[in-house]
Amino acid sequence: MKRDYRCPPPYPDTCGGGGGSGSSSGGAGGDYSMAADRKAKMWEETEQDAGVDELLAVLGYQVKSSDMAEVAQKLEQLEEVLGHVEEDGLSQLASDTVHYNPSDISSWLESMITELNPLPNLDSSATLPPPPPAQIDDLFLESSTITTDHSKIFEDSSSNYDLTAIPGKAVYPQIQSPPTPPNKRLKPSPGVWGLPNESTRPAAESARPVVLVDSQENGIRLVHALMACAEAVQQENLKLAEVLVKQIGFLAVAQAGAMRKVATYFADALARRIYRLYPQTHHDSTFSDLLQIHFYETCPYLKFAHFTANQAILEAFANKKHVHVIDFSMKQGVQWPALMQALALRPGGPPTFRLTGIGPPSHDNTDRLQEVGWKLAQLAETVHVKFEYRGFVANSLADLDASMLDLREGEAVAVNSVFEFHQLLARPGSIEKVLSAVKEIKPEILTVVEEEANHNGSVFLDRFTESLHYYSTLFDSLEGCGGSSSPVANQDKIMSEVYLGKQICNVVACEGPDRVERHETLDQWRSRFGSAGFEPVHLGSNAFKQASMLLALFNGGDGYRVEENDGCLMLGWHTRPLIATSAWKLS
Amino acid sequence: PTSKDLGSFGGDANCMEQLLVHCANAIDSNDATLAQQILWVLNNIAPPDGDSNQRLTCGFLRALIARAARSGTCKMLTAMANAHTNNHTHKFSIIDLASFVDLTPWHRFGFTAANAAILEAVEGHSVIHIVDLSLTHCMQMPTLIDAIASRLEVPPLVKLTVAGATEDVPPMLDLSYEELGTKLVGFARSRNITMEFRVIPSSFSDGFSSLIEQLRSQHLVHGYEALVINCHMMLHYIPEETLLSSFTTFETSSSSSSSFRTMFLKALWSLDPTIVVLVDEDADFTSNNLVSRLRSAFNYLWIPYDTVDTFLPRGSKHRQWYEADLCWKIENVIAHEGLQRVERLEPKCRWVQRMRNANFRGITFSEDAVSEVKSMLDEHAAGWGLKREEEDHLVLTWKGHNVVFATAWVPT
Repeated sequence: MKRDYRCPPPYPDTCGGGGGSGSSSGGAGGDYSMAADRKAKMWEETEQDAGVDELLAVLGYQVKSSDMAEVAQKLEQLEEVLGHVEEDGLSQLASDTVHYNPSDISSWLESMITELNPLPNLDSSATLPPPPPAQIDDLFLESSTITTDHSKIFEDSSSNYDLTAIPGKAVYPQIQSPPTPPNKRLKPSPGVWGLPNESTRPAAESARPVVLVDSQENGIRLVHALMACAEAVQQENLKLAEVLVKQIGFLAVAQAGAMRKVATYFADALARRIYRLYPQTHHDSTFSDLLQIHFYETCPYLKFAHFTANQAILEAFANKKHVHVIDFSMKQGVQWPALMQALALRPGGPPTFRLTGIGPPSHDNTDRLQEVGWKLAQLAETVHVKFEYRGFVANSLADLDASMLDLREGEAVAVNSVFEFHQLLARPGSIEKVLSAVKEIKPEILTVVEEEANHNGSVFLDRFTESLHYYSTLFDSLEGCGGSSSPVANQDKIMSEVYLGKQICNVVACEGPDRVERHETLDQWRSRFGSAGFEPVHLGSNAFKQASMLLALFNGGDGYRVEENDGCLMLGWHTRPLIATSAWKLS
Repeated sequence: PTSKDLGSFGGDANCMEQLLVHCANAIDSNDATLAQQILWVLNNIAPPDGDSNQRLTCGFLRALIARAARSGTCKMLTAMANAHTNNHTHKFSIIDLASFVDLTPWHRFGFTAANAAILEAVEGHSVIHIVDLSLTHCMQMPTLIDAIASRLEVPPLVKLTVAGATEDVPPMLDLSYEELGTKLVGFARSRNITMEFRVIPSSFSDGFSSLIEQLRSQHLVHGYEALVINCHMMLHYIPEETLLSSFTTFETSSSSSSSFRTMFLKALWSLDPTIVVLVDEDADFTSNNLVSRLRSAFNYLWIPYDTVDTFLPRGSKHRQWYEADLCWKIENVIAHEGLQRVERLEPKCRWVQRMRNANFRGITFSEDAVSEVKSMLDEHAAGWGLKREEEDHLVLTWKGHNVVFATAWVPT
């Protein structure tokens, strides 16, 4: 009965270059468990021979501590070379290929340098390796664009930052106390802000001071490095930013669990911004829909969104004989089977049920919207509900207007939007257009689910900070979900992280119309809807109780909290609300 | 949402049963997503104050939630599961229980048939020893005592023995058995019957072994008594074969180890009783497979929900007590496993086989007995009926469906 309502995702094909991350047996967690194995081995090796630098070994670099000096020197050289890149027109340096997991850092650096020195074809040259998960990166990069912006990559070539001593305490002030995130959540490990699980390692003994191996301090350093890097980016001090982002990479791998993953994604996003490797906004919705399905399976956020929205819709449709749902977020239509079943068995008998599903165009030749509709029609037949479906392809919701939707006399309409509205904020005028179209539709109810965060501020650093906290909390909550209970669950979890990682990338690395993850808070939406002529519909206590119960029953972490906020419902992790469901009608 | 009474339950009840089955499967296979979806749907279509199908489904829904809360997928034992309404079962006073029991033939049927058979069997004995193993805490006895007093020419000495159980299954009494005994003795005295009352602490969980021992030892002394074993809906709590018991059986039989249920019946035979009356509910709740059990329970327990409209007004606290007791049973069948799952009904055919295996022979209820039962039924709603099966067995029916069976036995 599992996954009854949608077809099995064809992800081995759509994963593209880095694919198969899920299909290897148990290998879904491969990247991290491999690293863990390495670390274990590392402990053994340190006992025997303290020759290899521990941190870099974790990264996959076999660098003897005694070689560190040489390595550092080569890095310096590389930097100098890179410093001349701009004049030589080597913007192709920003290329698609990712070179990761080199086993010999020294010769890799050598090759980089030799490749750069004569003017080569750089299609196989590498950027500095972003930290793992590498396969994921590949997915982003396969559709990266190369910037045409030729502005200086580096402000000056004199190095203020001595790579011979990878900055430990040097770069930023002594840390006296642990960082307190704005919501002052002092959650014990394995939180992002807390101590990782791994036992602390002794300080590496090497010829040069290297990055501290004390995990706790590293965690603090990591946060500071992230913030410092973002600040540098904001100030357009890209040289500093670049140094910091590399450091973040090293620090991140010393972490475990959520912290490592979040830091990695943010570092990756920062690197893109620094090197102007902007990810193309995915026009291929198949893949992102797929990722969302994994996210749906793994953790309760989307399920909560569906229950709460459906509850409001079900109640709004009470006693109505003809109902019509317009779904702005159709995707795989996972929200609707439960509603149809509930309508089928409601006292008084089912209404006739129309569903209009709106979605973006798909790039393969399949008409996914129609396929989804067909499956729902089959379900409708088994539960004896008269059903009509129409799929609407639109590049943007702003392309819609009410006249296209074949609205009929005597039907009660519900408009449903899950994680769609914030995207409209990327283009001025869109949200206003959509809301006025909704008003023309005259729905009984408009159900809206959005991420509860302000990731749309005009100041980059603010956005960065906000999203760092938000996604840290989100990743924390994922740690308890799925996990290693089964390969499928593990895969779901990994893909959920990819799903969120793409959002992080969009928030941090993109600008303008490409930056679509423009989350805003419930209060901000409230004032938008209010001024657009909508008034709130209170989600009742029934919805609250049900949501609480369903969450309590099934979701791994004890940390989920359902909160009622002035008639709206929020789901969060511990004290931090993460998504909010609200319902509206025309005033 | 308020319920509209749909009346017919053909289509809808099937749908609800199907949803419950899917939900049970989803919970047991840890498919959290599907389980949550179905639970959400069930929550919306089965309000606790709806029609009888909806209330029945609601009881099962709560039981499934309780089951999910117990299974490993949930880290939190949630108060939410109980949050809808409190499911505390009521403690009845004697008066309340007596009048409750009188409201419906559910128990009266067994009482009437049993008492008639007992009276016949004990005729001429000067000492009658009744062992009352009854779910209804001796509610059958006053009528029997009355009948003994009025119909038997020579008032016998009556000994009444009950097992003071340690487990609580509904309906629950708000007074102790000692107090209950005092009242009964007093009542008997008012009918000029001398009665001795005894409580022997003994539990169904081990097949009433201490009771059996006591009876055995005193049987040696008082062999001339008419020993009456009256089993009224109590024996189905004794563990049977499907329960993988970690207890060692005290009777080391060579081949298969016997269940407590089997051993109990054998022990009864060895007491050489004058008559054994066995009354119980005609359904099978013993399957180890959750879905089978759910189907059996759903297809039986619709009956009490359906009948309640005929004798208890909606919203009355009596109805609440009644349905709370039903919910207790549903939860026990669905949410519990192992020893905690005590509601182990077996259908009539299996009990009959067990009795025969234990060397008992069925005896027929007299025509008088049958007509007594019939006139009792006339006092209640039209849907109740009486059936005779295999000459010896009487079956209470509701709208043609078997509800309770009554059988009487003597040792061969």
